[in-house]
This record gives sequence, C-alpha cells and structure tokens, in this order.
Amino acid sequence: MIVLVAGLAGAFLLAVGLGTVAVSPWDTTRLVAWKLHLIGHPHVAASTQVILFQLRLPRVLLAMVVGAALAVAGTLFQGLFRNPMADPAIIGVSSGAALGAVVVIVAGGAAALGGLGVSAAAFVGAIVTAFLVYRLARIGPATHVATLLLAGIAIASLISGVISIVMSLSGQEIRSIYFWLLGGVGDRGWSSLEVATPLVAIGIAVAVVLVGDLNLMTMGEERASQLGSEVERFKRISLGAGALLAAAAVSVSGVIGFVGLMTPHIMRLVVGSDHRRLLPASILGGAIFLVLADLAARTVISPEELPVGAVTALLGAPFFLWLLRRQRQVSYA
Amino acid sequence: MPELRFDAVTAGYGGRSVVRDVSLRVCGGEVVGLVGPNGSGKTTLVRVASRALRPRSGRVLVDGVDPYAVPARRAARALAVVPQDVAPVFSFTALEVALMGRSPHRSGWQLGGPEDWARTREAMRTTGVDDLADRPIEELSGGERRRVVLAQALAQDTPVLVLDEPTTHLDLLHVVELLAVVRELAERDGKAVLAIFHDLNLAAATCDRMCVLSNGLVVADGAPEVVLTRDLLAAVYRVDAEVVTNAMTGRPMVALGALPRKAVTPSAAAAAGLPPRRREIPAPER
Repeated sequence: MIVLVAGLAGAFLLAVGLGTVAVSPWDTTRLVAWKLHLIGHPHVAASTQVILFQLRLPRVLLAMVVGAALAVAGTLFQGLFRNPMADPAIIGVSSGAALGAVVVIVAGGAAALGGLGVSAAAFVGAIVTAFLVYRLARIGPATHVATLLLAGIAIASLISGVISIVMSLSGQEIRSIYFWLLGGVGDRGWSSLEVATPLVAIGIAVAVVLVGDLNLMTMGEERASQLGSEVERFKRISLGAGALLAAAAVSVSGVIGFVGLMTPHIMRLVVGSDHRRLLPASILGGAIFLVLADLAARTVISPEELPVGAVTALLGAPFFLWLLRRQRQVSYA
Repeated sequence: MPELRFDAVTAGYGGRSVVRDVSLRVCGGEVVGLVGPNGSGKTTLVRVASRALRPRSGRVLVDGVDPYAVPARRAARALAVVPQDVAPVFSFTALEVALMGRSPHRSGWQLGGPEDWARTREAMRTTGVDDLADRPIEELSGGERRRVVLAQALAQDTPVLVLDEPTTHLDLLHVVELLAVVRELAERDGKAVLAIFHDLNLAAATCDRMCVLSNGLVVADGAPEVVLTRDLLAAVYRVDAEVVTNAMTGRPMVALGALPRKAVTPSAAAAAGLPPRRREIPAPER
C-alpha cells in the first residue's frame, strides 16, 4: 500500500512535469505548496505557472479522480455480480452516459448549463440506465445476478444501436461525438474536476462502508445472508454507488474502457481478494493507471494526441496477461 | 438452553408448498438427523431456518428468536449453516474464508481482532484444517474445503448449528472424524445440531433422534432404533431392506436386500408388494 501511495505521487509528478514544456518536480512541489498556503511565493517563471495551473494540474488531477472512480466502480460491480466480467461498460452505465452526451451534442445543447450540458446529460443517462437495468433484472423481491448481467448487456447493445442511428442522422457533429466516445481527460479544465470530485468522493465513501458485505458476497448471496449480510439492501446500495461513480467518470471524460475491468483484477493478484485491502489498492491503482495512460496518450506522438482509451487497452492487457501467467506458474509449481 | 424449533411450518416456492405443517424441536446437546428421499423438503426446511425462505404459515424460532423479525446479523449470531460447498468467485486463503465466519460479530473493518483470530484458529484446529490456513481455497480438495466451511460456521460461535449433508464427498476417515466433531459440538459445547443426511446408517450412528420427511410431511421422529424399520423404508424410500443391529455400536443399520433386476416401476413395485408412491403415509410416530 505504501508502494502504491509512493507510486501515485511519482506518477503525479512525472505526468505534471512531462509535455511540450517540462516542469521540474521541484517547481511543481513548490508551486503546489504555495497554492496550499504552505510556503511563500517561489521564484518560478510565469509561463510555467500558467502551464501547471491551467493545463497540467487539472488534467492530471482529473485523470486521478476518473481512474479511481472507474476502478472502484469495477470493484463494486465485480463483487456485486460475483463476476470478473462485470464492469461499468457491461451493465450499460457507460453506454447510457454516452447516449445522454450524444443526444445533447446533436441537439446543439452542448453549451447549456455553462458548458456542462454534456456532462449533466451523461450523468442523467448513466443513472437512468443503471436503474432501468436493475428494474429489468428484478424478479419478485430478489435480483438474480445472471439476469442483471444479461439485462445490462442487452441494454448496452440497444443503446449502442441508438447512438449509431443518432450519429448517422447528424451531420457536422460527428467529429465531437467521435471524440466523446473515444474518451479523454484533456482540455476539461477545473470545472469538470469540480463536478466530478464530490460525486466520486461520495461513491468511494459508500464503497468503503460496504467492504464487509463485498467479502461475504463472494461466497454467494445465500451464504452471505447466512453470515449476516443484508443482501437485498447491499445490492441496492452498491449498484447505486457504482452507477454514481461510473456516471461521474463518464460524464467528464467520455467512455474510457479497461480501467474498471482490469484494475481490480491486477490489484487482486497483488494484494489478494480481501476488499479491505483490494478497495484502497484499486483506488490508488486506478488513479496511477489512468494518469500514466493519459501521459502516454499525449506524449508518444506529441504534439498530436492518442485516444486515452486505446492507450489503457494497450498498456493494461499485456500487463494483465503477464500477471495472470505468473500467478498460474506460482499456483501450480 | 439453545433450541431450534419449527412450529407447524408450511413453506415453498411459487404456489407450491414443499414442506407442510412441519413441527420439529432440536434441543441443546442434541444431534437430530433430518432424513428423507430426494425432494422431500429437507433443504427447504434448512432454508426456512436460515432466514432464506420465509414460512407461509407457522413459525421458526432459533434460540427463542424469530430470524425473520431481526436483522440478518442478529440471526447469524444465533444460527450457523454449513452449506454443502462454497466456491468464492475470487481467490481467498482458507484462513480468510474461515475468518468470514466472525462477520456477524464484527463490522467489516473491525474483523480480525485478537478474539476473532483466536476463535477462527480454534475452529480450524477443531476441523483439522489449521495447517491449510495459507492455501488458496480453490486449490484444496473437496474434503478439505468442506472442513474449511465447517470451520467458518464454527467461528460463527452460535448456539444452533445446521449442516446440509456434512459427509458427502468425504472419504471414510474424514466422515468418521467429522461426525465425531459434530457429536462433540453437541455434547461438549451444548449446541443444538440439526443435520441433513442421505446415508441412513451414518445418521443412525450419529444422531440422538431422526426426523423423517416424506413429501414435505414429518412421518417419523424419534430415536434411530424406533424410527428405522422395514415398513418405514418400504413406505418412504420404496426399497426392501432389513434393519439389523450393528454389533460394534448397538446402533440400527440398514441392510439392503438384493438389487432389483430392473428399475422399480409402479407396476413392479406393486408386484413386489411395495406400496405405491404418494398414497398412504404412516401416522407420525412421536
């Protein structure tokens, strides 16, 4: 865990520092300390300050918040559904958010709510989809995990179809829709951070309270209940918290795949399956992962940028496969 | 004194009642075997007791508490269930699995205090899995995993214990050891123990009383030597078998007759003088 905290600090300084204009970790540390009223004004070039506070800092902090949110949402959904494939994208929340955004862009409402129209619509789409999937999967007083997953997959496919139709009907907006669907944390500014951070903090706080139930749920619903878990209440709360986290993330950064699916898996291989270690590890791991992925996305073919979703897949998949193979060799040695 | 008590319980799924008007009492210090053919309602009764299936009528009392009237944690401090198997979807060590048995006593983050470890370690010693503590649960054999699950239920530290076929998939030595543990839990710790058995001989060797379910009704309840009779085996299980006495233990034992030449069809059963299924059920012997 200490390694992960140090890793996050390192990734932060690295990502803030690298770019077309380099900012040294020492300057970064002093400028941040000054902003936090810890020290007096340091002698740093004004252009460096602008780059740090207007461009790099909001971008890197947003990557941290979004990465943590996606990773925790993935941890919650995987624990809730007892399914390693569960992920915000699979239960349809990400698709719902994307649909909300696409509709607003096509309707020309992107500038509404002080430029936050897209984010607000994505958030509404995500929450509505989560509850729709949950209601569809609910038969009698219980929710069956398999039904919930199938409902999620069906809804996600349906929404993808609707998005395709909306996109083919719209003309000049295709480019901005395309960029939304690819996902990214660049050029979002402080306002996105201000929208996402409180929501993510609430979602993570709820997840922290649920760790005991998450552990019991890995044994199955009936066993969890026998061991004292209020299973129905847990399912409602964890679904709501997961949807909130995923919606907050997607609404400010578009659809970034892979983080929610893979981070919990990778962390499980490192710290084990006990959610008391897995949850903090996923928060840190998701933040590190997305900060580094975004760093790679904007530096590899600078000054052009790659879609960060492509980078998360390229970085994450080989790492995951390597860890999985190593784990197997240890297990069967 | 601990007690598990079913009062005229009727329960089932959808519109169908799987168990009807079942009354049964298990007292502290006593092991009661729940037996009956497949589909007779044994598991349904266990689910009623473990707060998973609310009875349609009648009520269940676990140590004086109606589990459906209290939070899940309170119910889990009164009754522990040993399921047939657990398969955590992610990798946990045997110790982590056993420790989860302490959950009803602690909230998630507090789990793992000195008392939790002491109780968990003791439970694992009792079931003979303390040397497997750090092994991932999915690498254990079926028999080892069952004993880890039993340790999980013992760590729960409840006055009432319910076991769902505790000996299936175990080899003979482990069967004997596990049943010895079960008896000890009743005799030494004073727990009220209800256990589903498929093997009537193991049930007769272990239990103080046997309760026989047939088509959701209790058809016999009493000491093994009173309950196990040739007539009952013919009526409930539709097999022809002699009940003899095990010379080593003095307990009754079912000795099957020659195997029938073909599957017992209704007409063949009638020809052999066996009563047809679902007709008359002998009056309960209490």
